[in-house]
Amino acid sequence: MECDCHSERSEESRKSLASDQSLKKEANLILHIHPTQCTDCRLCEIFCSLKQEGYVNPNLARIRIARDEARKLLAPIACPPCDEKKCIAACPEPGALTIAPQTGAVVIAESLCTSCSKCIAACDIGAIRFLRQAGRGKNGKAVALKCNQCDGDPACVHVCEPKALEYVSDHVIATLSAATGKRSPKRESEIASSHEPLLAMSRGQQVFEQLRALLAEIEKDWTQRGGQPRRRIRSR
Amino acid sequence: MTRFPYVGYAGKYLRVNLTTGKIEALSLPIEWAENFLGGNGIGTKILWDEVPPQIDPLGPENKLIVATGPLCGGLMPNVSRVEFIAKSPLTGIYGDANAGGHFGPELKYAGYDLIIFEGRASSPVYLFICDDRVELRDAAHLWGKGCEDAEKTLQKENRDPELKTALIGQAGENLVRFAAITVSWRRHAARSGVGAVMGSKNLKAIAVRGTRGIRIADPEGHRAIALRLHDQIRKNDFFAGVHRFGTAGLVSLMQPMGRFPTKNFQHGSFDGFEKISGEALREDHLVRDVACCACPVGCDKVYSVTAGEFAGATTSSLEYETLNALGAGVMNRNLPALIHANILCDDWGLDTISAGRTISFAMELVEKGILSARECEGLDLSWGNYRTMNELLRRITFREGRLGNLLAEGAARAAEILGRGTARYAMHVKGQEIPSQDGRAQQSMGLAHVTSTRGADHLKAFPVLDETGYPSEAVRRYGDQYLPELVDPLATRYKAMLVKDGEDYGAVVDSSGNCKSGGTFVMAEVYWDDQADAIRTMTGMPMDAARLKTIGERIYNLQRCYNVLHGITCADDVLPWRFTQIPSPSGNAKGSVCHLDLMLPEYYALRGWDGTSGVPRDETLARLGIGDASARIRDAIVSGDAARIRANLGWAAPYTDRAVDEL
Repeated sequence: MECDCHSERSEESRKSLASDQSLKKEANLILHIHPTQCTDCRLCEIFCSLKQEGYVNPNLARIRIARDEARKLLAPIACPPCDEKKCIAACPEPGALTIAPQTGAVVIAESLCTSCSKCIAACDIGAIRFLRQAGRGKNGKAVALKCNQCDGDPACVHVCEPKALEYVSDHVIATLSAATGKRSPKRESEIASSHEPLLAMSRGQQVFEQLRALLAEIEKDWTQRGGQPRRRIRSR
Repeated sequence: MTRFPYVGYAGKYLRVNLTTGKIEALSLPIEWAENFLGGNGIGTKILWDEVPPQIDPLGPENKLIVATGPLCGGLMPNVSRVEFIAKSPLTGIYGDANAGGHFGPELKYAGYDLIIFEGRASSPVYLFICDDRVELRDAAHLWGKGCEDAEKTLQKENRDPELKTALIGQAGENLVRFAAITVSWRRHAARSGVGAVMGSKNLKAIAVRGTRGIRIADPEGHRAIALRLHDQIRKNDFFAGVHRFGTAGLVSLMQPMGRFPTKNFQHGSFDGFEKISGEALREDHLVRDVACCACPVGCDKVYSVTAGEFAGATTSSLEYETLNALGAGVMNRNLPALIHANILCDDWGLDTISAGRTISFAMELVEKGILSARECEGLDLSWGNYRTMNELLRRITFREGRLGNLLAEGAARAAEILGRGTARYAMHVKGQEIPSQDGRAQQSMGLAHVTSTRGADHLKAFPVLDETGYPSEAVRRYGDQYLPELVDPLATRYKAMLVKDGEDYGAVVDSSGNCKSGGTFVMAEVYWDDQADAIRTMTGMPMDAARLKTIGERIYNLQRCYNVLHGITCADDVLPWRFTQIPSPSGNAKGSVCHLDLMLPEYYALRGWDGTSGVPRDETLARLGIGDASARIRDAIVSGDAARIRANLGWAAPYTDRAVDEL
């Protein structure tokens, strides 16, 4: 029986990557995520945490799977990285958030991170997570965690059986996009629209839904009691 | 107490007394891990030590043990299983059930290998666990809710969509004897009626969130083994099929063999099978493939119905067993109705196997003219009436009416209560309904059903080598000396060995945390040596295949001993007459009966059990390091306690004579 889990696109991109090695030098490799292929097995989270932290703890993984209640919608969330790199622009600490020269990945220097959360707020796909843990970060209290592509050999991609994760050249994706008439899902806004509604869910509806509902209630209550509505309640 | 020396385990367990509300977090005893490994094994040990046989399974003296194994939540393929062990309210003897999903790993990430629930809460409660924070909380607002609603409510009120739960639906609350426990996300520990035990304790749910994670003794070594096995499983011949169809793909495989039980086991094949096959399911209803934690296979699926009477229905984990029990078993060809029935069972928390078999038992009673129209309480119990089936599921869950209340006891007890010769149509072993295998079409499966320690069950021994013929794996495990009989489903030779080995290995798999459907039995890439290597590198515990085999045998023998305390002997190791007296009517198996008489003596001899009583011999138990069990079972037999308990289990051994009307 043949398996339909390998999409045509991913097969093609692999082939073209193999056939044109010259691309590899100048091209950045990016994590290309196919949410429709994801089965929510969490192997990416498990192997990511082992590689990054030295033990298994999906809560510390740099990739995570967002899901709706019926698991009809699933989305692995990780930094591809995008073109805009709003996180770097938002980071107030010089050198804390930089682009790794070999891989093109956006990496966090833990010792410089003050855990101000500005990058987390800036990232539209929710690929950066906050960890409160003693001894971590510049002030020893907390740190922001994000994917560093395992310095060019992402652990998650190896174990993703349904091929929801691929590590491919952004040139390949651009070429493919030109061939298929679809635009490259490289820009953050385009990633968001291509993963719609999965990525929206990852930040808004799913992960923070409960919290936001509660905050709305508090706000309503506040208004009813005659107070000034708070202008904006930080939800993260 | 000495610190628990092995990593891989969380190293701690919880003892929760529901009567007093006392919660203790204790260090995991080293001897539990070293002698019984984890999960199923440790649960068996606790049951043997702490739950006396004479107590009522639905009383406060019974305990519910929720246990994970050392591999659970780690890197190995399919290590997601969590075990629920208790004295079963369905069979009255040893009972367990396990489930995949994401609950087991989360429990370990929170820092606990197992939880022991004792006593009974005075009002509904649920246990909340978030790392060090462990609280019993009021669950009055959850009581009466279905599994899906209760899970959502818990996630909402704790403001955590990642909260994993194990909970019961209304069936568990109403003490239906085959009630299931549902774990996140929608997987079910359904057999043995463990849900009713949870309900009897007024425990609605366990909600877990863990952020501690698990350490690995030798991360590099363990990672290498795990990645190799992941790779082997992906390359296995059966991978594509299992990934694509899940267990539902078995429907089309079992049909031509005559191993697809139909009409309460009257037939071995179903003329409408293609309408309820895995292919039809995938073609018409698939939404997406989903997987349990750490599983590369992803045999779970999300299915939905988009049109017709049941439009809007969405379900997952619709398995071969369900397709048979709620499909062919009751002659139902309507797949959307079957999907709907699966949703009902999932949400109310019913074991689909026992529920389907109990309904087909009732339908056969009507067919044979034993159950009168008045007793059917307005229902048309003719074969294939799916509306009746769905209505009966509701009446069983809520114990509504005399019929619903009767069937909620399970087929074997219902037959005992009804009398009037109904016992011959109750297809059970040791009080538990027989799952969707036919011992006539696969001899080893017939033996597996009778030797299973939790009553009729295919998963204790799970003899897959001769299921569809699996010669390459048989050669890998045993060499070619036992071919071709070993892989011939209709041959009886070597099947005792196959079943015994399967039970021992199965006990180890259930104690480690792996799944039997992905890598250990189906797609059998992980066997003794790999399992031992994995456990050693994960935990740091010295482990090899020989030690692991002893552990497996020890666990299985202790479960048997526990059953012997309940008066279980070889008199209960029997199949209903239909399997041993009536030749199979169809498929490859046509004309064949299950030859238990040829296999059982060999099995007892291999096990080191007494051939005339089926009781483990003293020297066997001594060899396995559980010699102290001998005196206890001897006392129980000599004093007559065992026989007295057996007489009060509530069910009779299956009817074995040839029924006159079927000659």
